[in-house]
Amino acid sequence: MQEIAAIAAPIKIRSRRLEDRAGWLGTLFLLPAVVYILALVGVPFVIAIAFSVTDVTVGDTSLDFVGLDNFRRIMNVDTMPQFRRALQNSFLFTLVAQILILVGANILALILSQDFRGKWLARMLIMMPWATPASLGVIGWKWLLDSKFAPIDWVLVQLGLLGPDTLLGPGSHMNFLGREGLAMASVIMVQVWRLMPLAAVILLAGFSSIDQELLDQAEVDGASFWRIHFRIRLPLILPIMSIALLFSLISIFGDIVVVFGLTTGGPVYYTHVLPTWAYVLGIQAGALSQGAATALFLFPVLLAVAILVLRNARRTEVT
Amino acid sequence: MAVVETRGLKKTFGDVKAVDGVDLTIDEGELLVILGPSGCGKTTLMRMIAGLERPTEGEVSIGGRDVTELPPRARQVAMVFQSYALYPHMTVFNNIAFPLRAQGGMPKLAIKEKVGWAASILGIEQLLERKPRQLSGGERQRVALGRALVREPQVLLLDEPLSNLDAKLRASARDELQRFQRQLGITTIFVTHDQIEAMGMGDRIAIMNKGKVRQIGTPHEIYHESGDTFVATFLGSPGMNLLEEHDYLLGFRPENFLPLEVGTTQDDLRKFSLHVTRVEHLGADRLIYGELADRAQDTEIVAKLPSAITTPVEVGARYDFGVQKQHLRFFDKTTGLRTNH
Amino acid sequence: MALRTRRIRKLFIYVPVAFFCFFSASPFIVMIINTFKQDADLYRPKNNPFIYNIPPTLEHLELLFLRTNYPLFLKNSLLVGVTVVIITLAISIPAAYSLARLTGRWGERSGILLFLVYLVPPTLLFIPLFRIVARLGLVNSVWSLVVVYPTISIPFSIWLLMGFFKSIPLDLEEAAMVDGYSRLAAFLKVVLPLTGPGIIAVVVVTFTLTLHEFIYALTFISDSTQRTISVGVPNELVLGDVFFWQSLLAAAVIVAVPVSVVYNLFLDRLVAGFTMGAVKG
Repeated sequence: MQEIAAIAAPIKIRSRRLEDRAGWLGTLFLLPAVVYILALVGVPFVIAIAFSVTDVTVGDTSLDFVGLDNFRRIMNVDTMPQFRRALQNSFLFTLVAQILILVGANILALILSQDFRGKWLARMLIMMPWATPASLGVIGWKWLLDSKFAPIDWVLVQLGLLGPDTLLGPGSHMNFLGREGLAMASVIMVQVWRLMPLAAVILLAGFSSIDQELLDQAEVDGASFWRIHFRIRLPLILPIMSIALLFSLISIFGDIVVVFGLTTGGPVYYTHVLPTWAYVLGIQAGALSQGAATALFLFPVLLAVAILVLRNARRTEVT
Repeated sequence: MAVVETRGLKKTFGDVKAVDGVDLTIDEGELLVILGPSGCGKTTLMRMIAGLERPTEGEVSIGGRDVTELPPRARQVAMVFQSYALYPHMTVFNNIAFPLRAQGGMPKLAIKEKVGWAASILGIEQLLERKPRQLSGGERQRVALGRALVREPQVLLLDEPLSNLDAKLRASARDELQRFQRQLGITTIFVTHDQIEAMGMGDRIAIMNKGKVRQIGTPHEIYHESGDTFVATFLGSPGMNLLEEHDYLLGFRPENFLPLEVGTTQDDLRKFSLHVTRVEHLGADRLIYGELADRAQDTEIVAKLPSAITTPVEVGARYDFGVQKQHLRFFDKTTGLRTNH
Repeated sequence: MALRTRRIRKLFIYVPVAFFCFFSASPFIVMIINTFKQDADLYRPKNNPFIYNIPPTLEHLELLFLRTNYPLFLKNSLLVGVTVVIITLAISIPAAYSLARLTGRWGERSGILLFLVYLVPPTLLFIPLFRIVARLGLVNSVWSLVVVYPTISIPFSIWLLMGFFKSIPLDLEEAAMVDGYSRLAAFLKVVLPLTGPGIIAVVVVTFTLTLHEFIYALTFISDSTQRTISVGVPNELVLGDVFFWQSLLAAAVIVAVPVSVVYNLFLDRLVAGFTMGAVKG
């Protein structure tokens, strides 16, 4: 039959060994992840819920069931106006920042998918906000905006926009973080600043996966740049854009660092968001149960949004 | 001696019966072609023989051993996928050597010899250091074959290995494949949907439809003695003409349906009057489409005239055509199976 | 005409590029400059913050490196980063493969469930987790973070790698099995080598995550020598109302520059990783 005598003997296996069985292997592979998540996310989550329906505080660690008392207490606008404000802010900041991030990341991704001189340097500079720990970036911005020696103030003064007898005057300190409207805008701006690079990278991935033939076809068909962008590119990357959207949404909605570092919720309580208020209530004031109740408001909202976005992404999947 | 045997093999996915009871015996050194339209179950059948699918019912034996419960690696089969499935991160050499390294323990020198042997049979020695993405379609196919042959398997399974090649290459590739198979004498199962490929290659052909094997036989048998209407209409381009007559179906192939003036003057002819609706000139043949005068139905009948027959045929005209009685076939109206009349 | 449209095109590229670069990086550039400013220069509102009105100094860097625990913070962050990446990969890769290949319908559903886990923010879990960490005896230790951080990185990594594995043709694994390998061996020898970009994406994102994370680091650790950059720096250099600005700024920049250089180097692989994982997933 063949020229070289068979050297490999037939494999002697009686039945499917474990390494062959898909089901068994699959479960084995999955087990560590499941156990880990259950233990360190599932269990604490349940405990958090438990806290929120008891009267536990830092001082009193006994768990006495109080029903929905905590929730009633935090939602009472008269005794705790901060909660409602925090809830509103959470939504407002997230929404505005998200829109800005989407638009900015879109433009960024479009640009970065072209070739131009100095692209390497540009990329590096653009990525920097994402490369530094959030807390430190925030401190940097705090200095830029708020300290008595803020460079932004100085620039405005030089431009003649700040100071006595000027548009933004009379003081020579804008006090970005001390004024309600400006403080809120600042928080939003810093969120955009730190999250846009990642969103741009994800969108860039999406753009580069589009079949060049489709784009060529559109050009031949006579479509202008913007038409191509809105009618072809964007719809095709809708699934991945939804993912980018979801990530940044979660990052903003659940974030504590920016508000904490920038304004600590101030002025007064006007820039609080749910996470920061939960921290203030739970840790600083010691009312663990109320803190947990406040924080729990994060989950259903995120869940609802995630389901919406995921379902939408599924439906728009083209390939 | 039978090398591969399947008994009552069934595979259901949900409520879809992909393979619905297949009994096959394949002898040593034989080249069996499994032919059928897409979705007929041929690939699923082959995957069950390979061990990549577990049968819902039935058994598979290879080399006399019951392998139904065994994983692929214990069956001593080799498979060439439609996509060739070459490992993109390995060189051609390592691709071919891969099966030899599966067990460990084979000395480096032996591996080199075997890879060299396989490569030389397929004429790809000069490609050994390249990566798959640097190869043409034909070259990739040879590498896939080399990888399959290097283990000297009991059975070689080929899943539409020629469909990714362009037409011209396909014919020569088919030729070469057949030569290998004969030269090496490996029992081979070849799956395809292309009947020309099948007819050209197989010692025997098994035609499948809807999960069942409709007929197994030599190319001559299945073509000229088709066992049922599916086989009769599937084979041939175009396939057999079928007419409803009384309580049976009458069939005859287009190439046997000729103008009366042509051919023998034997009176063993069944005559028809054809009203021509369309004529296609295909170079070596002419296809004449038309309706039969004495039938109410609008069954389209086709005649295939070789270009040697120069009888003028015009659209819209009526001609007398005939079929030699020996070429008539009869099928049961309900079962579609061949009957005698 | 062609020349003009090309110029306009360039404008359309360079202007936005300049804008975004400015927006993203200018804080850092200003921060770098001011790191070296003497107090007398910095603390004068009237002084131009962009130039050195008095000669620059290294004293704040000295402060940062010699008289705070900054070097320790760097070491801790690095340690946490590397070990968390390893743990994440070790757990996510098999899990993602399992969900992508080995579990069919309920694999898809589990994948989505996993994603939902990601939605439970640390700001919700940190209080109960503190209790658990205390039980494990890991309070005030860097290892508390090593244990907890993977809960944030694993869901995302599994999701990303899942898409990645799905995009590798099934044929390859089946060919390997027919060639004589078990499913496990086929996974190790054929699938894993092809997962490079996906793994890089996971490494990058996980490492970033450990760098940025704040709330767990704040809650679990109060011993300064065990802190990471994220919490340690603000904690040491912000005493009540007094901000040691220059050192703070230095701390931020020192981390940002090399990390973004590295990210930049890997950006193409990162994009490839996301593309395969996210788009085709």
